[in-house]
Amino acid sequence: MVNDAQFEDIYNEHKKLVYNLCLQYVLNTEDASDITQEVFVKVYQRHNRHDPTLASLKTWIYRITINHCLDFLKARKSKKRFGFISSLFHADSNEPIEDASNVDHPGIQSEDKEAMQNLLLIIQSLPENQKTAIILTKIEDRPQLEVAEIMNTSVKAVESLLQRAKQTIQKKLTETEGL
Amino acid sequence: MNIDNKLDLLKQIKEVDAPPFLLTRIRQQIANLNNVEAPVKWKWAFAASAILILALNVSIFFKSDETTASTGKNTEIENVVKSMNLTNSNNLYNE
Repeated sequence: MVNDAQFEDIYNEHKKLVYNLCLQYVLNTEDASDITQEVFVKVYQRHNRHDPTLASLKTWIYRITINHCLDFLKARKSKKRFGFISSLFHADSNEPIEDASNVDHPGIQSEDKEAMQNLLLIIQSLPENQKTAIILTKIEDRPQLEVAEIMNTSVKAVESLLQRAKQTIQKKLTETEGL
Repeated sequence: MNIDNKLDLLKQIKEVDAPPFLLTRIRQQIANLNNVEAPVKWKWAFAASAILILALNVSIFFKSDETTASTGKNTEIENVVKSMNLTNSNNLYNE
């Protein structure tokens, strides 16, 4: 297991990366903090399993973070799906509602706040791989080669995912603007 | 508007700092993980149930030895098998 000083170095070097990536996925500071915490606990526990010849520490941390965020979103989705049933038994159950008013992203400071929030919600509704490709290339501004490495796939596959994601976003934007 | 221009909006998202309390919380969680130990009551209950299961196994083992040793019961079973026409032959319906 990694010692305390080493862990603190890893934390200080990657905390911004992990927290911001979590924010792009969950669009909420509280959940992003919780997931960041879980990610670093996992990094601490599994540091000895990281093989630097297979992936750099940064890539490995990226993968752990993405997996945690996707698991969180899946759990939130199933909670929402069964929210009606559980609300019959527990009156205080609070199912998550995905609308722009629920977005709590401190990185959004532009004048087009609402447009950006809607865009982020559309991205959140994409299939997992397309969502990851868009977040890493368009928000995190990572080169496609690095994205391919993080996603453990080829650059061509990333290009294809981006293309499909753009088509879906375009379609959904047209639908929302048409309303 | 072109989709690429729309997506360029996302580049305006600013990078933010992680909350300052996070490292303390992570350290606390790691410390809690290291200190997770089964309560003493559970340990005693586990030991008692293990001894009980072991004792049951030993008693069943010796009892089954006694029953196979007594041949009287085997002849009784053979009588039942004969009276009910039970056989281990593949010849069905006594053809």
